[in-house]
Amino acid sequence: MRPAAREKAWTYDALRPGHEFGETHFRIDAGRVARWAEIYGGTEGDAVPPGLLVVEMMKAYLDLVHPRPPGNIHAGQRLRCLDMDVPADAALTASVRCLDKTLRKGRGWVTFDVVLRSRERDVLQGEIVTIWAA
Amino acid sequence: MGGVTMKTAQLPRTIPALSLETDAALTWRYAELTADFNPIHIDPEFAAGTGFGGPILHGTMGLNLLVEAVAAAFGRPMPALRFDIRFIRPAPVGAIIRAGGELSDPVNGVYSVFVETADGQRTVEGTCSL
Repeated sequence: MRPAAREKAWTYDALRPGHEFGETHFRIDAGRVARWAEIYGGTEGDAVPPGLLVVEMMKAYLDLVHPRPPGNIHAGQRLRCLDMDVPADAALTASVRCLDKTLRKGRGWVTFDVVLRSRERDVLQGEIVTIWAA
Repeated sequence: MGGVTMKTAQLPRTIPALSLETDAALTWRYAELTADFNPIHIDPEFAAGTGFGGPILHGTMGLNLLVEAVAAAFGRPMPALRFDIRFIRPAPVGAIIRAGGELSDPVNGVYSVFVETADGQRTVEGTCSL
């Protein structure tokens, strides 16, 4: 479920570790795989390309952690590829929460946790490590 | 938990590199795929006024290429894997990027992985482990 629309950008001060930004529900259909293939080349078999699952992880973060201040830096990424054999057109859910935040040398570092699930199994878990701009 | 487990002897010694030749059109398609229309990637006039001097690639464009390289090396279905990477520097739009790695710790199944531009400048570094 998506949270209510927010007008103010998520500043470093407003972010709270543990805060859940909600969920998105989607399917990766043949058209989306084709758009991936236009960039990365053709795919084999019926399974969704693993890199496209990483795209969906980032897209969920961009969709749910909104609005963000301009100028954030994606500094690092941790991924746990748990069970990446996802058939095309499977129903997927992505959930996003703030994992932690800390000040380092005057800059705010914020980590977001994103979990992709399909048919009640975890597919991919990602930690998006950012330097927050404001 | 799903995924495939692998024994040390089965581990590939290298992650053969995959390459991607980028340009403005491909970057725009990537922006559409990801819904990330940050002008730093797609607006040359905006990007020229930043410290980068011109448009830069989305960092995850290289990360996805790396994940695909690892998936190709291990075959499908992929075993359960962990990535821990840093985005070191951006790559300019128009660069050819390569992603690959090598087995750096065979006992623990850890790979040193990277994304780099054609001239060898690393844009992403980190590890991939079982």
